[in-house]
Amino acid sequence: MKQTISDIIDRRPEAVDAGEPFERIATDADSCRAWRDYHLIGDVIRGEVTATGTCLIARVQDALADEPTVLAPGAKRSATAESDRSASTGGSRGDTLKAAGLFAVAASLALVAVITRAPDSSAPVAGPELAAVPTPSAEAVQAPQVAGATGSDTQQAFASEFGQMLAEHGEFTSSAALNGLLSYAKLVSNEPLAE
Amino acid sequence: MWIRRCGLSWLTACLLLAIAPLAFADARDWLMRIHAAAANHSFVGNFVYSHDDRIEAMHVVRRVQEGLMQERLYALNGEAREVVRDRDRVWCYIPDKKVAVHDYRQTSESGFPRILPADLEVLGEHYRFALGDTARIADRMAQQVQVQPADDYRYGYHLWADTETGLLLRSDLVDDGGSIVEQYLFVNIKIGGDIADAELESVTSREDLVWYGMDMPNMSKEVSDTAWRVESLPPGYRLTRHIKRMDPMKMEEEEHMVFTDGLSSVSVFVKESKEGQSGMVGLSRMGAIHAFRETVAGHWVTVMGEVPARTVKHLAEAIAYRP
Repeated sequence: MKQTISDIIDRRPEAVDAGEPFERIATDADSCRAWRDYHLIGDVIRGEVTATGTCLIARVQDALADEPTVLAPGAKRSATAESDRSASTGGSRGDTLKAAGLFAVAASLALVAVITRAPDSSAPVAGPELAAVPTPSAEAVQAPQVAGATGSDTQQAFASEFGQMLAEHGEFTSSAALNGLLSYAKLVSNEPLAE
Repeated sequence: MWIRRCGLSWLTACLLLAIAPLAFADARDWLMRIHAAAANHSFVGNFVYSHDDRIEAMHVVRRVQEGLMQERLYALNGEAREVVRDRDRVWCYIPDKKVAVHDYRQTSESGFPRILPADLEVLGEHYRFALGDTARIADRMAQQVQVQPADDYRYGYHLWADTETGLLLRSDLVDDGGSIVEQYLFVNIKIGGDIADAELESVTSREDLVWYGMDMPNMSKEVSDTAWRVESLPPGYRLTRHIKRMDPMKMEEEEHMVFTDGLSSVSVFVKESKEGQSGMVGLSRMGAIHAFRETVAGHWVTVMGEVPARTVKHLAEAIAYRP
């Protein structure tokens, strides 16, 4: 349905089966929200809405706030090197982490992983709360479980590592050759943060 | 009548056989154009990034000047997170966490992973290529390129490239059911022209930010001798990178293997498990990313990529420790 909405907004009526999509948009809450969000965001960032822009953005955010459970980010390291772009060109000041992949640290802090449970018919597992969003695959595999101790530390550690590995992985993906910085959108994306 | 029908069938088959390579060549040319455009054109625009029924609006600036590329990505909703990068380095601002980071990049000198013509030939073994219709996107005309996977070990791509410059204006990652798993869609874009330095400067206030920084490029080393084996790869995937480095969060050594079919990539991370250490195992997902984690021979093995669950599970089951 999202594709259909996108086609309509793209003004490709030939790709749309007339009638039915509009009925669904009018009657289906998710379709209606997707339709509204596409238009609102487009209007806001094209600058076509000014007087009530803040309100509209807030509404979009409200729509986006209908989120599944999130896992909290990991704890920050204690390194506190103060720096800025100009300083970095000539070497940063203060403490410096002598480790590789520091950008991954940013990812682990910024990216709150929304982890979904894989389809599984077994009893709910202990440990991290998992998002209740639909999974795309019908293939039944083992659901995420906790090996060893349970608790928030485990879930925080996993969310942190997930973001970190995602950043490291992203530096080498072939598709990044096509969309460049856009693939960083996952990092900049504002997932709701668990405090 | 039967002979006539057979004749028509043969004619149709021959036409299809003749057209298919042409379609592939055309689509391949467009992929090369998209790749080249990403590295050669300056632009300023806003795009929508959507996944898992979420929609995020973002601002992006890219300036290519005398061979030097500079970029800035800025979240328009919620917290004003930013990423600024050039060929060698990345600066990331996370004001909501009061953190900023600068780091050295790990990719090629061009600033982009490379797609070579040879890779595209190999791609033809695992994807079917076709040119779709032209469409109007962000007030510009765009050519659709359809990249359909030959099996369910990889997602499909529907790409829309600016007909004038080749810049990617829309990208859909599509699963085997035809559903969009992830989408980037420009809503406006200005291509070319001068881009002021100020457009590439962070707008984040630097007060109260805790900075993480590095004086030296990342020190990772290629692995030539390892006890880790992947005994069965999903069709079309091959190992393209195997490095060893320190986990920057925990200062622990980890191995990182990257497998690709030329378009889809999967990473395998291997890290020693400390005694009494706990962690999640099994399959998880975030948007188009699937991850599968397990313990093997006292190590955490995490397989991750923008691929279907089947692919990460296949790799996870195939990895073995053979000292």
